[in-house]
Amino acid sequence: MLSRPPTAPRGARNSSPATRGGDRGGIQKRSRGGAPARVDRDGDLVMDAAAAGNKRRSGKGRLDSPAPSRGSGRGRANGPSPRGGNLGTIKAQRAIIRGLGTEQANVLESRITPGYSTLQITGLSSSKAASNPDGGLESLLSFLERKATERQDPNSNREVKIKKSHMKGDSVFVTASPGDIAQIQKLNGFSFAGAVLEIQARDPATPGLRSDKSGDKKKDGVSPSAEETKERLKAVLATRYNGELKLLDLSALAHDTGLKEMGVFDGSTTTSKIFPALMVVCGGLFKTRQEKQEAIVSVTLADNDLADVADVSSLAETFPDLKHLDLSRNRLAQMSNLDAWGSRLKHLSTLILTGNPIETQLATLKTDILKKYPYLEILNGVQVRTPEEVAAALDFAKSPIPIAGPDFRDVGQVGENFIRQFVVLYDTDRTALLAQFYDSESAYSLSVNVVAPRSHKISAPIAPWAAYLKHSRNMVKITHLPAQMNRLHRGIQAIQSLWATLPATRHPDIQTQGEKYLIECHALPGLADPTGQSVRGVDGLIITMHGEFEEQNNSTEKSLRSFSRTFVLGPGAPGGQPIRVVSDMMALRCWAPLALPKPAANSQPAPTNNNNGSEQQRQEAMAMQLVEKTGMTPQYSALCLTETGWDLEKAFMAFTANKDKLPADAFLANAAR
Amino acid sequence: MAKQFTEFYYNQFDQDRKNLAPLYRDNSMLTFESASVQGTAGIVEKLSALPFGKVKHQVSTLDAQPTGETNGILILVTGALLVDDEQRPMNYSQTFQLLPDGAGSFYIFNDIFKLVFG
Repeated sequence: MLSRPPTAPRGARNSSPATRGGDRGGIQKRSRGGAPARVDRDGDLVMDAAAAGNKRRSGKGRLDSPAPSRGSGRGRANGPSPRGGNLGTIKAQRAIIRGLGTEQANVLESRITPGYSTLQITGLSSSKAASNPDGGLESLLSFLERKATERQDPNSNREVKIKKSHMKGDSVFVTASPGDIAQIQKLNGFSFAGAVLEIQARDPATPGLRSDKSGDKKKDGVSPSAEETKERLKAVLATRYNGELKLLDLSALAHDTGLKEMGVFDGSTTTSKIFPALMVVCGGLFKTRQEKQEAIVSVTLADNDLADVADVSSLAETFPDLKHLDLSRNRLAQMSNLDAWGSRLKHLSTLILTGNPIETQLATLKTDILKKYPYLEILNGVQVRTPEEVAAALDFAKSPIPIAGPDFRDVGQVGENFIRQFVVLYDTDRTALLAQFYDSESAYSLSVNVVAPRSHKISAPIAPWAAYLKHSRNMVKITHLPAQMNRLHRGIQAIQSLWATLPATRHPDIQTQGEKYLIECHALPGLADPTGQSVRGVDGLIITMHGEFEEQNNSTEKSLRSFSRTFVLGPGAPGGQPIRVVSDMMALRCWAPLALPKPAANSQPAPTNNNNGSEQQRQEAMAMQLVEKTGMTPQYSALCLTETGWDLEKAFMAFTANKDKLPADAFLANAAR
Repeated sequence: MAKQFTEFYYNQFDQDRKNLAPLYRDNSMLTFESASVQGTAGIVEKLSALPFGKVKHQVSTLDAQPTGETNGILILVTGALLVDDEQRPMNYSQTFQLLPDGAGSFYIFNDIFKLVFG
């Protein structure tokens, strides 16, 4: 359990002794009272630095700088955690931060496709050309091209070309290169066949963002163009991004000065209108999912009056890998209010629902929430799972069916002897193997499973399947009977000629590496009697064997493959070998370690202590960062970090969720509250 | 035949595995994760008691061989299993031995299931 610092009784937010300025909650840093929100946030950074005073170090993100106070807490025992890497700022992400830190969001801009390439033109329908067979489209387009070309810099010989066009209702949409678009746009207000043309930029990427709110699209200059809208949204995002915490603060959007200025709320306070647009703009800033995942780890949606996350459903699409999410002080009342996100946001490790009606039912809903979010560790600032439990739970989820050891029910060690000889001979002398156990009736076929899933932890490349694929008798794919028959090999000769073409293999030694095999064996009555004497047949064995082998291909690289093989063994014909292979079926797939019976618990490697020095330094540095960000005392910061497993992002989320409950002495005396 | 059988088997299994009862006989043997059960009643009970609700089999490979004069069919299936809300599929391998039931159809004589994921 996360034992929180002593808490004051929870009351109205404003009842704490020192009322904080502004009513934006969530993750926004404490702000000077009264100042406009945007200045608040910007000022915040400055204020924080000032509050931290001489404690402030240059090079904020550095882990190795000595800190004046060390956290009293004990770090997690498992050495430098990979999470520490979150603090070391990655190059790409630094660029984002730098860009976002400025009002211009230069970097952001550079990440967006420069310019826009679509114009919306209205006015054609009221022109005389509208009576043309094509509605006047053709003559409008040539008019635009001609006029735009004429009005270019006279030294330029370029002709303005419209690449694409289509009519929709009263509007014509044209696409052209950004340069040409700019020229065409200058024709806004021109007369064409007796009608005044209105030409506006349209960005196909943000269809949700119509600058025209209530049919006022005809008024020039009143509504911002799509590009302007995008730029404004980027500016809004820039002020709401904290690069150090990798936090995107989307709290209290309805009170956002920037958004209000844009008139996007149009009198209502719903976020449903602006949110998808914000997400589109935000998503557009990143080229890859990984880039996004690295830059934005936490999001707060506090104070958005959300009764259902349907209004912000695009969050899950834009940030599927989100780790920390603050939904404080909304109106979420039941689990179903989270349904709009479906099973996305699966990677959440922190979820804050403080100040929602649902909070009162958390005790009963906890199980459901934990099920929905398998990685969740902290719910409302309370630890609900340890990282170890998350790992264990995932292991369990991976295998709801208990893995059991082999069930090997041999008859007179026949099966065992066969397998022992088989694995050796198949590697070293397939001809001898065939002579010893196969006969003219033995059947062999192989199939290749090229789609077998394997753990993302395995990065070994999969060697090409070419040598096998042309023989694969996978009936899911091979549906023609002749092909199926061709790939069933019966008799020593047929099998031998196939085996000669298959790559050489080396199976693990079954004596010393028995754990790499799973072999089961059962008696199998009712096989055809090769002597023809017994009408009801004779007893045989059915053996299923799962394991791996190393392929000895021409290159020096060794590649592993996993296989499952089923044998049916029967007694040999009189005068022949004592046992014979009736059937031999092999299925190959990419290598992955075999599922083994669950080992006893506590197989966790012993904690190493050789990193104490650097670990301590790392923690001290982290504690000071938290001090700077929160204004909490070093002691409280360390406590907070200890409880959140020394994860700065989580600690800050926990702080945000609980800051109203913290006693006054949790904060530095000189920190403005 | 093998393809029809596996399609039917996994459809039934994924819809309601209790419906698999007609495919087994009292001399049938199910070995599920190394636990062997003989007889229709025991097999259905074992299948019903498996610790998952929703289940989906995706057959990746299917191979079958006729087994000699018994007119049986030996089937080897490998595929992926999705259980409940778990997103990650698990590799499995399943061997069926089918025997004619005397009425023009087949029943499962041996059914050996094993998870083989890594």
